Amino acid sequence: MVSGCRRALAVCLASTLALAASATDSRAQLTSTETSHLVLVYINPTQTFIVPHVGRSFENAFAFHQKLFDFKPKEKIAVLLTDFSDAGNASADAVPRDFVSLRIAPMNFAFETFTASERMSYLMNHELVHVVTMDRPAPRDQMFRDLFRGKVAPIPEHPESVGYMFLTTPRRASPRWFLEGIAVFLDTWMAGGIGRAQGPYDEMVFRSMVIDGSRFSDPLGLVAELTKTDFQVEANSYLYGTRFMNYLAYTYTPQSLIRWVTRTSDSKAYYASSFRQVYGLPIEKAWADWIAFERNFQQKNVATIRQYPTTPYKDVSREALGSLSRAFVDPERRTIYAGLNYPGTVAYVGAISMDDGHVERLHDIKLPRIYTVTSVAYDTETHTLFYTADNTAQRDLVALDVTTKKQRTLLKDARIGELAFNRTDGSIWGIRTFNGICTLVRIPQPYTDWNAVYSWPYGEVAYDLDVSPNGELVSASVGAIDGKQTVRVMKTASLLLNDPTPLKQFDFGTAVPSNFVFSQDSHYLYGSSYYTGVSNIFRYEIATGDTEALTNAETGFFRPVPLDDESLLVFRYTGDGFVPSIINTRPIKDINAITFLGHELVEKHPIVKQWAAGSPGSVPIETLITRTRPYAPLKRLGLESLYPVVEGYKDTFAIGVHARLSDPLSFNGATLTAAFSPAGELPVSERVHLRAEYRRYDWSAHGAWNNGDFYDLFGPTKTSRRGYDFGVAHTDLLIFDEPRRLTLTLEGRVSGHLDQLPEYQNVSVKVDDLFSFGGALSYTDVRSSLGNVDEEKGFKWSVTSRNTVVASSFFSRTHATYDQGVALPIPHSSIWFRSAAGFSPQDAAEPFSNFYFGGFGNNYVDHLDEKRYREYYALPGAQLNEIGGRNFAKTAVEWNLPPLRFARAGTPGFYLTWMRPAIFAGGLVTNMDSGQLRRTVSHVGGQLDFRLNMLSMLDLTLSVGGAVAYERATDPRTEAMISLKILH
Amino acid sequence: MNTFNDDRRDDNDELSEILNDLPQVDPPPSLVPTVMSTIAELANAPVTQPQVTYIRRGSRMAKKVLWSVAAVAAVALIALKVVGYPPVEQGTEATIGAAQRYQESQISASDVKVEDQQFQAFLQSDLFRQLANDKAAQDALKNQDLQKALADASVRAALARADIRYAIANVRLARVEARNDVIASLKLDAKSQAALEAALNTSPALLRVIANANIADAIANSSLAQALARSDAALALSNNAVLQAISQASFNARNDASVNVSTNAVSK
Repeated sequence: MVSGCRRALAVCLASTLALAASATDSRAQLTSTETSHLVLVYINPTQTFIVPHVGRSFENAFAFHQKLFDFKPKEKIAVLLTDFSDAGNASADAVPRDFVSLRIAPMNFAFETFTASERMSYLMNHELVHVVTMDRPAPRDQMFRDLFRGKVAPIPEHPESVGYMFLTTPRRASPRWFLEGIAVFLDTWMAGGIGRAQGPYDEMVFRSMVIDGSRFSDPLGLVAELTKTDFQVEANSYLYGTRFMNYLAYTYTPQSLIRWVTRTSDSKAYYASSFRQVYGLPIEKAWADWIAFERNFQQKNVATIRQYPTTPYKDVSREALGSLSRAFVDPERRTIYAGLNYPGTVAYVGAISMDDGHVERLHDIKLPRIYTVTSVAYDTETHTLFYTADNTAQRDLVALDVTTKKQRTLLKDARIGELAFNRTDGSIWGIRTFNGICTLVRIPQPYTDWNAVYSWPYGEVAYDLDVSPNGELVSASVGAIDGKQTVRVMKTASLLLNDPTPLKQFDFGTAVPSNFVFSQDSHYLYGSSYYTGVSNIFRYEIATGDTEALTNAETGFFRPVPLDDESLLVFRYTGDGFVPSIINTRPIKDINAITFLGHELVEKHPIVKQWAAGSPGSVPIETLITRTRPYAPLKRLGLESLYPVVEGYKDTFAIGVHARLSDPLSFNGATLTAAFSPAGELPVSERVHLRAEYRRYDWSAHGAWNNGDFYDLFGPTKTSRRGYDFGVAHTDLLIFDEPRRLTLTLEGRVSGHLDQLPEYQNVSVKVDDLFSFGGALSYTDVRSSLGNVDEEKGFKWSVTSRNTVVASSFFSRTHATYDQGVALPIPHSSIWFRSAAGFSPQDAAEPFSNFYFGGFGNNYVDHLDEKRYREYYALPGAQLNEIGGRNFAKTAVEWNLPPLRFARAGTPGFYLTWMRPAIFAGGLVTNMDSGQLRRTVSHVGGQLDFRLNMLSMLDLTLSVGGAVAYERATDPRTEAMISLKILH
Repeated sequence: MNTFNDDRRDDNDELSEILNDLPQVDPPPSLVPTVMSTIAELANAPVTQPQVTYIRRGSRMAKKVLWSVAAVAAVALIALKVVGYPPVEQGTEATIGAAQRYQESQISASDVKVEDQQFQAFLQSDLFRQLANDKAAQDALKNQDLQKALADASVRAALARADIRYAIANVRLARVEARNDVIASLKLDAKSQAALEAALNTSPALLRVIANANIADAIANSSLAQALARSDAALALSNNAVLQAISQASFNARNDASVNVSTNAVSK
């Protein structure tokens, strides 16, 4: 998983740092263990147990890549272990430094979208492919790295860095499908064939597309539309990327694939150019060839399945519901309860009528997972649905009364999922994930605490828990280190005596047994397996161990729920997600197996068998470790890069140099920019521009002299200022419970020799010394659905105080904001109400006691929020800083219309993704306590934002807007705005 | 145990390769019931002849028959290989076919060597969580004297006795008194007195622990008492790593509690 999802990585790092911040309290330490290739950072002592194994896995994978790619990095690869999420995952990047972030929690086997043996070994195999494909330099790249003293990360403050990045790390500018496709392809063969290159879920997705007659995305449509609008969003990059790589390896050779993805001295820098160089045709042509091949391949599989009668089904809902959690049926109410997540609607717990398929929304789900949404258990007597929130973080246990829709959090951050309800004693059973280990737990009524029942050893992953209706048996699927999967049936009474010995065990090889649940009479287990390559429903008789197949599916059936002796509720896979359907439970005898493309590949090109990475167990890590010491970010600060920049200062042009320093994990960073304005009418004292900054996760400081800004080259907003400016700021996350955040920010600044107000460019002042301090408390809880382009519902507020001491006079200003958004029934459309008010106790004649309003505020070229009209100080239609007042009240209503998506606008290297329209109207009153000074202004306007992507990784937003401002006794004033926002 | 057939293939096995090359032909579905019903009928049929018939000089005749049958069988097998038999009709290729995937796992349980499993087991336990949520226990565990004392086996053995813990908590000492005075004031039975004497002999720090009212109270009345009652847990508490982990988990638990309150406050 490459770190295309920067937000997730940032949250991960922020969480780590939050813990590090508590080091005084907890005495836990960030510690690093190093080899000649690796800097492994972890929290001592809790994660220390896994460090040698992670080190072995890294060195094993590294040795493989060194051999296959001739990879000899000039830096150590930093690996950070975290345990801030119950979902195992990882990300990697090569800019500005080689870095891998690993979540040590178990991976999720849902729908067999993931198949692997031991996860650290798998993750190292996979993530190091990313590092190699992005980092391995050609001699030309290395020359630029030497010139710029490192790999250049693109930063919004200096967009010239985008070009430097391409010169130093050209393969960083590759689409996600390319990076994930080759990583999945290789990790499969490195693990001896266990992986998604032979994955049945992937076969199902493409088989379903052929059955449904769906359109296959081309490379442009994949990145521009499908990965943004489909219920599987970015998972499509894995699906398409892996499949395309499989096709290329099968049709040409696996070695040709390696030639393409390896940056060498004679290779083209851009991935697409390199493709043409290796294969002699453009990617688009090869992609079209693959689609034709894929259709033919899947048609054969469909024909094989249809040689026997396929299982009839009756759909409950009229349409596919995206991702669905485990479901429960309330037979009295004829209602299915489940978690749902599909594009256009914020994920929720819903009630699906079994009579007409109507879906009722019960409650939003905080942080759903992509495929499993949430973990659910149901008490039919009290009509209470227990489910998990924060599913991508540390899970909470929540109880929802499905009748009243009221809910309460029972256990915060309990990290318990895979819920199962024991109806005989009202207890909830679950699997807790902590420090990478799975523990079976029991939560007795009133669900305020839990008891550990049994902990599996590291490497064994338990999932899909169920308790038999008679309460005597507990079943769980367990994945072993070698990738073998079993379903185990255990006695409840024995488990409570810490005896997990299975009463029965069903072995599945490396096929994942999915969602096995007990029948109403507790005699059978129903579940699904890809045994034939297609996910079919199977039934096990617990007493005898007899196995019966119940379905012959064309696409796939999942998550069976026994309704009675004759019927099952199942989820049927379609291209738009899962559909609840009902099938009969008659055993069938004849099901054909399908063919896997990955298997055909290995038959045709057995060289991939030689690409097995072997076991990390034999790596002598003890002799490779060079040292272990506390990880002190400040001491590890080193030069990251150094490159030339241009800036604007007032109306002049300046050239200079920008240096960046950081530690290997980028916990700390420092920058220094020095520039000179060679021309213009500036006095000599204003020609030199200096700025130094230091930041870590909670503190930042800066110092500037005649501060310049790249974006001042493009007006109309100017942030460059004459004089000196020193400041320090502290940020404290009082609540970090995504998406909820309560943030306190405190700052103080000393400035001098100013000729403009620091915040308002059009307010001239002559100030020799200015001291300001202030703070802001802000809260945000906003949510969005899959495929969103904006925030869709929720609220946020802030209270800000700014105080200034100038010429021995004290000025104070305080303002507050409140925004509330409501999602409309139209997908991705919402109405927002935005309000603000503020006051200053000082004289309205003093500039420092005034708030100033006016304009959109966007520059022609910009790097700040493109929706600047939402800020309290904006008033489109009026001039910048035109309207002032020592107090004010402001309100606005905004309608965000559904976005338009573009699947074919541009080329894969530069394309248009969406267009987002919004209209707004509002009013402002200033100096409410003074009839003479009072100004009342209303305005109405609209803005269109066009999201563009360049070089696969750089998002740009072109915004155009227009507004009219109305004020009594003056003519309406109009404003037009056009702005290009660089980077996000 | 049932085995859901492993779909791996042994590629080094030549016989397997040859067999894999043969067409997959399963008997028609009707074959098994037909054969079984025939056998059942035969079993039920009255026996009209002896089951074993001895034929004199029958061996030569048998050899001829055997060779003839073998020759016919060989010809038949060749014919089968060439033309294929029985003719495979639609729907009779397989019953429940297993999908073929090449898989050779590269790692086994013995390849994953993790350290300090006991520590990890303790981290997963109820006791660990209780200690992390118990401020009195944590305050006591921060005491250097208690940490030093718990490293001593005889101290752990003494504090494992409930009556000693109870006595320590309930007999308030004004200051650190002489060892013998302390023992006398606790009024223990002979066995416990001997255990405490042994502990005080080997660990002078214990005397200062007993004299600290807050720690003494925690030893008897907090989750620390449960930990001390178990020798393995008491030993774990002498481990600095465990103390760090408890402290770390305590910090997280406090955060969770405050967030939980705010979560329910805004939950609608």
